[in-house]
Amino acid sequence: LIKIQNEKFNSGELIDNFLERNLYSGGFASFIGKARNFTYNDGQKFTINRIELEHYPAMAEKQIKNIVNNAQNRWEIDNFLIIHRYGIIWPGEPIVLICTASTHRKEALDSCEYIIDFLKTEAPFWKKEIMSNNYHWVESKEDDKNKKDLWK
Amino acid sequence: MEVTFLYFSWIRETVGKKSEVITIPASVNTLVQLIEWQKDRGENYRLAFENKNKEIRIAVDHKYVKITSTLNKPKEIAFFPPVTGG
Repeated sequence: LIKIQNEKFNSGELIDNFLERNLYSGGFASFIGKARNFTYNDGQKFTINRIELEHYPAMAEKQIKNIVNNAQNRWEIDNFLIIHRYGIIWPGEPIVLICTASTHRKEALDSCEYIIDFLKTEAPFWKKEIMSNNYHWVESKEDDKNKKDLWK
Repeated sequence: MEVTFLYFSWIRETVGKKSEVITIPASVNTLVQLIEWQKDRGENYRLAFENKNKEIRIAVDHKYVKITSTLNKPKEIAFFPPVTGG
């Protein structure tokens, strides 16, 4: 299941449901990305009031599907769950949840990491960090691209 | 050819609109030519598309394309910076 939504979600409940729905898978992995309350800009630390995630709805879901298809071609995955939010997100709230289920741990762990690595660099979402009296658009990180390239 | 252009993130803010329906002139056949054409459409477009320090990504009909691609009857072209979700 792939879901793109504005609403806050409860990671614990969703993971529990996912475990129940895939009763006989032996290995599970999950990744949760949350909104921080700070950022560094030019070496200086700033407090973030909230973030705003813009996205390209028609393309976002297609891109995530492509990423999952590629993961499924690489590993035997029994099931997956991906939730990504957009809009206003407050510090401490979850932004993204990725769950994978497989027969064994390695497939579950590797596919989960693969999906978040590609999602970070290919899914059309843009983060705006809003401080008390200004904001900036987060710039993409070279590290994220390098990390993704390691999968090739 | 009539195409929907979409803008996201700081490109949307600089251009000053989310989307527009545009008739691309017949002389524009590649994305490189399209970017050049966009720059001439006004100060806001020039600022958005001439920013050499910032990369622009282009998706044609929801697929990433290289700047060297030729236009093949696109319906929707999106212009945006490298993505930062997750």
